Amino acid sequence: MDLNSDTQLVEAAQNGHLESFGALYRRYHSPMVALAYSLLADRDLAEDAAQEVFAVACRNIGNLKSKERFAAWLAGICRNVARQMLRAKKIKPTALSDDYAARNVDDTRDRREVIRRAVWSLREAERELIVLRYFDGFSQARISEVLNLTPQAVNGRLVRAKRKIAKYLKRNSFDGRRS
Amino acid sequence: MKRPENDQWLDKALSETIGSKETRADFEQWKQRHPEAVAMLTSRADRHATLPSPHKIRRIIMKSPITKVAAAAVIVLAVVVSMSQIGGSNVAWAEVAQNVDRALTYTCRVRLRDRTREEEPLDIEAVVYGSTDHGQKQNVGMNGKLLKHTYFLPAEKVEIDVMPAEKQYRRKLLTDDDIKKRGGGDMRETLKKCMAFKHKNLGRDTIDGKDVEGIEVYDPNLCTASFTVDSLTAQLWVDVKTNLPVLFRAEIGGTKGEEAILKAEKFQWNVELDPSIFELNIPDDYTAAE
Repeated sequence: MDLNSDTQLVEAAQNGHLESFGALYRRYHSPMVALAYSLLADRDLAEDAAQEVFAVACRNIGNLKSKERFAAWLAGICRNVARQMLRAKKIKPTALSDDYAARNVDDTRDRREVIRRAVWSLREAERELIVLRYFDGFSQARISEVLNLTPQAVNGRLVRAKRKIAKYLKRNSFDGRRS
Repeated sequence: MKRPENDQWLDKALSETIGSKETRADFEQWKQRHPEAVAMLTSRADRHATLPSPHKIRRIIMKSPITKVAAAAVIVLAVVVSMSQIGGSNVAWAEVAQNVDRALTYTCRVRLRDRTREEEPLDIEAVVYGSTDHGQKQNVGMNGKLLKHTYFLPAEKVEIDVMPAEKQYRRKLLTDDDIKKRGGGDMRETLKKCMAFKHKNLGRDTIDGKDVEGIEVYDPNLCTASFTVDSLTAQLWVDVKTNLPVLFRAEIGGTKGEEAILKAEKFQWNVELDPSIFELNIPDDYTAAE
């Protein structure tokens, strides 16, 4: 039996064991920041959102019946928290000017902005995957846990999302050989 | 699954652009900032401490020989129950497949959203009537307008589209191979295939107030489309009380970037369907389409 499995840690946390909740916090903090970032497009706000996600989870962990689905449950809380922040602060996720993509992309900063714009032009579900993959190099297996998808589904969607990004960059005269 | 060629530059560019410099998982700091949440969690330990431990309970009840026999029976029952729940599933999927196979009639609503052109997605909606005795009829609409009535009549080996707006009809003769390939053109065949494919259990959820259990399938061979399918993720949700499907949803990707979402819902199984639904009536002033 793996005493450090999510199921074991969740069960212990449900019995009031704070350090087990701490282990879950350390395990999922970074994926939650990434997930929130995919919605909020702002790293500081994403950090704040992740803090709140764990506060909500800590208060409600007793209600979680499917302990093995902790990661997906946490991701659901994260989306809700991030959306509430968007509504409350009326944040526009893509704070980029519309003419950005039309300009020639010369310096590194501009090139990054175009890539960022390409990522944020994706649909939410695809953006989540891309950000989780590249924010902290999460493996497909780990992403599949958080998003409650099969690793094959993660792989398929990643490939499609990357195709879209490549297409967007090509449309905007982005030369991939220069970096 | 084909991978984009030479996309290492893209991996590098994405890592550089959205890669994290540092995210600090500082639990001690988090605890200080959320004392109320911490107090709620730790109070659970207090509640558990006030309950007698399972060990203590066992010592009390096991003094009686009758209780010992009863406890043994409970343990046997628990093992049987847990064996039937291997994989976290309470639904007997073989029984669901059998129920679908044996259903004499069904209706459902199917929506197909073709997102290949994101700026102009196509929404196709159909009300589907299926009958083992009569075949299948679909009332198909596109972007809110009635497009056609499709009659799929495997007994007569024919498929007929009747298009009221154009006052036209199109008749297509079907070979045995056509009928076999399309599984009789029947939603029931897709659902059965979904259950037969390798799948992942999604656990329980609620849909329209019904307790449901789901599976997820990743296999491009599950559905056919007007384009070459290279990826497909489908979810099937089943009512745990009736063991009959409630919702089927598939995300389909094509080799040339095509994307579609198919959703079949509002299933009604073994309902009485008026035979006139399947009667083919082509008005006299309708002409054959090319």
